[in-house]
Amino acid sequence: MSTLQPYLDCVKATLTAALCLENFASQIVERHNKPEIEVGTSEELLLNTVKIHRSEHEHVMVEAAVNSVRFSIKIKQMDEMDRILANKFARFLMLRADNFIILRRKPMPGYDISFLITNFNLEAMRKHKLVDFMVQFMEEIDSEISAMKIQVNERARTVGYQFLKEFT
Amino acid sequence: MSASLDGRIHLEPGHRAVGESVAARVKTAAGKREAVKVECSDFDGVRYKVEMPDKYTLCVSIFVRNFPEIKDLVGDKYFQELYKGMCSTPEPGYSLTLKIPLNSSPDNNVEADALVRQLSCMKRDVVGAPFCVCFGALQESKRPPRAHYVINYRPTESMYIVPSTELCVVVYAIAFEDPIEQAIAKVFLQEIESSRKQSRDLATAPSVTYTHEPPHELKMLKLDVKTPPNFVGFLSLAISKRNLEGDKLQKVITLVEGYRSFLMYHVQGTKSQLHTRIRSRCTNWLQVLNRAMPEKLSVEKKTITGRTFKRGV
Repeated sequence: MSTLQPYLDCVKATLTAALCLENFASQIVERHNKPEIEVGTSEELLLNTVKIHRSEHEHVMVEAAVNSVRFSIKIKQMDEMDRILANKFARFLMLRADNFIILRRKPMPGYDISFLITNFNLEAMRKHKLVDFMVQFMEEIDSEISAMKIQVNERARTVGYQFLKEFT
Repeated sequence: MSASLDGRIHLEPGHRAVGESVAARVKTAAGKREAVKVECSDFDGVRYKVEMPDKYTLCVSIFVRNFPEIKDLVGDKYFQELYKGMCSTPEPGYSLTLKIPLNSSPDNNVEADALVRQLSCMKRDVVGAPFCVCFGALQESKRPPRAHYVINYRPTESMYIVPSTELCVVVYAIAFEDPIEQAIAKVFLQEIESSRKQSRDLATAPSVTYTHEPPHELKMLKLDVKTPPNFVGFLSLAISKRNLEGDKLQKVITLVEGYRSFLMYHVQGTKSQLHTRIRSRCTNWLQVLNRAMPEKLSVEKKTITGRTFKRGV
């Protein structure tokens, strides 16, 4: 069987564990309440970073802090077409970050797409559904990219065939 | 217009807007012709202008960026013979201007249609003129006057024609600016090559090769082949005499001249197809995410007398 299911299970368990957040106002600046993982000013509020690899080309990173979690995904990219499609997807999503409340507008360096979940998001949403969304997203983006690649190849083949057919 | 089952695979040989505006003038009676000035563009930076300078004349001008070169390749007389009695001095900014006297325009529909078709296909006839010369010679198993033809039909891209008595090899140097288009074009070029090899019913079609290095026909000529920036590859088509049998000469010229436009059209089509797919998938995800939000807590409730009350939190 594929290694996909254990990988997703592991991500799911890690995320569920990491998404244990509380409201935490900044202890450095008065009246500030910022995601500590982004501010990074107080080291004692950050937890250990967890990286989960499925393969060399496909991994995720979960960075947790007291009031926020940053979750970054690296999508599998084996050739140029993969790279382009993954890039297109990521850009398309990040342009719509306003609607995808938990999406970070910029991915972490080395990753294709990042999410930033704060305690406020977690208060507004159901935690298990949020985790389900992440897992479903990871599952689908891979299959979507490979389906699109097949579609391009198929179209190229039909078009090439029809062009040559005109000569016969 | 093409013989294909699906009308969206092949491009029409001519320019629709030019064809329509010419047809509307040629096919109507003298009193009812409306004045016109239409300027439009075609693939490869070609521009058209259809104009009526006076009531009785229709002017069709075309601009082709490498026109002097083509004229040099096929000779001055070629276009005068192709457009008998129509050629006039080109208008400023255009390469070739045809004047059609509307009074003596054909009254029967068949001839009028032929004229419309000829005028709407000017790009093919002008850019494809060297093909016409080479394939014509191939049909008669002769050699065309030159050993090879180079058509620099786009600023960075060229077509090369290498004729021999049996075959006529057409090589396209293809480049795309956008990296996404490059990647898609690469897939298209690979697939056209492999579908030629794998499909049995294409046995009579011209053989196709896709390479990164100039194919040996070009190497033998020792041409100065520049690979443009953003280069995708060389595609060569070997057109044999058999491909031109019957009345297929015009059709083959259309296909060969239009390959770059055809490729472009499908690359763009694929791009938008991918975009649509990404868009619908993203909406889908957004829905999944929204499902994570609990519905708004029940709407305001009323007592039986119609008064509302707030629940304590």
